[in-house]
Amino acid sequence: MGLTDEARLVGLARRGIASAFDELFRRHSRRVHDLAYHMLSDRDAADDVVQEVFLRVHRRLDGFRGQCSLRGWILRITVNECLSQRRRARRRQQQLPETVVGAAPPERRIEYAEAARRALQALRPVDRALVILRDVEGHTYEEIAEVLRCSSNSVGVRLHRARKRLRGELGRLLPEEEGR
Amino acid sequence: MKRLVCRRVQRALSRMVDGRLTGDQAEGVRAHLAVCEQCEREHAGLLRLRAALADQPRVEMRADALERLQTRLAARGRPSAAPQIALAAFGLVALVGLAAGLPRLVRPARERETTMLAAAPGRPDAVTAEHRQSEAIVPGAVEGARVVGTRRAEKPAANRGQSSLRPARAGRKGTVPRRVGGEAPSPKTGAGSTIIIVVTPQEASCEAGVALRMASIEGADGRPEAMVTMIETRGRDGSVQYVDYEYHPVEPEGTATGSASEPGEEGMRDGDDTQDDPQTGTGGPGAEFAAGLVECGAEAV
Repeated sequence: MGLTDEARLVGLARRGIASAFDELFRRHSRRVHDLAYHMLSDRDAADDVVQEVFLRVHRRLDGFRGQCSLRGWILRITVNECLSQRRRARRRQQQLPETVVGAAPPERRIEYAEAARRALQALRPVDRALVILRDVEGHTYEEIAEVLRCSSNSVGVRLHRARKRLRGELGRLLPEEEGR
Repeated sequence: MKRLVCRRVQRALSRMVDGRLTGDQAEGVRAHLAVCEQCEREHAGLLRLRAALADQPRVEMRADALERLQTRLAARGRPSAAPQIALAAFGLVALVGLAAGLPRLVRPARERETTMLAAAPGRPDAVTAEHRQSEAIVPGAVEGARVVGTRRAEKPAANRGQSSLRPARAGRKGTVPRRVGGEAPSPKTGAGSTIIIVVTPQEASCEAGVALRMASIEGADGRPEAMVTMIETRGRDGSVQYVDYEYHPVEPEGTATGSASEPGEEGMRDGDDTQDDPQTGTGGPGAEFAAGLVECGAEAV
């Protein structure tokens, strides 16, 4: 995807060309959904986040100055929306689902993946976003820095701490892991 | 002393698994891991954690996500697709109306592209397979088309009364009115003409490759003089790789071969511009180029 092309799409979407905005949705919605799903562990909530994020993108597109990448901007909105969703969910005292829907990898990997998913919930939301962006979604430090508005050095330091904390949580959830 | 080293190594492990250490740094850490069981255990645990996170299941987004969004946006006042299509169709018909006597332009968009591309006289070397492929994603409909600007220019001096399509040099800019907004000069128009550039939907959806544009050229008296159709191919970096254009003079009323006010019957018929039609095989190397694009386009349809 060329940057020039994307800038043109943004320009057309700003001028009200619906098909241009739809194309932006097609390009970025999958990432938004993945990030939201891993942040919230809830498929329906992730679907709602996608809707809210793109409504917000549509509303704020005029204000997007192109100082960061469009993807970074959209993912930042996604992280913020996920944090808001969690706050709302907590107020409603909803419980996160205990089961995960997905393909079935080998037995041990399921157990580990499930434990990691639960361990993620123990992190602070921003740290959770950081780990998901890096270890689940595979973004670079620089991309994460853009999304979370910090330096890439800071990403490294925070990632180290968050992983350490995750390791501790994993050890609690998988006792044999602690001994390894 | 050893604990201090271990602390430093363990701090570096996170960056190492992310490939953020230099070769020397990574080598130093590995050397330590080879002799320190505790740090090696930490390293292995970190790798297991990353693998477990990478194994997180993916779920599909709802298939109707875009439709839901469109509905919500429409409720907020965004024009739905239907009026846009109607507006675009109106604009196109208006332009075509100006260009009475140009049966090829009153065809459906896909057919019009085919005809125009088939008329290319020379094979543009700069057009790569990648560009051809990108043509396949270009929709042929007129959704999103709209008038984006006007410009006063000079009257057509050369080629009046001819229909020609000439290749521009690869990467050369300004050979045809190519800037959206109509500010760029046209080599084929003279003073007193107005260029109206219509952006076809390719503007909105073409990732890189072919964009088609049309310009209606009016004389000082406001009468339509010609239609210019343009082909742009773009590299992924946005540079113009090849530009073609076709100049269609508008015949005076009464001499036209087709009626723009009745576009359907006359214009849709195949074979009324067979000279460069790829199906006839008379288009030379340009037809070869065109055939490649048209083939891709056919797949898209």
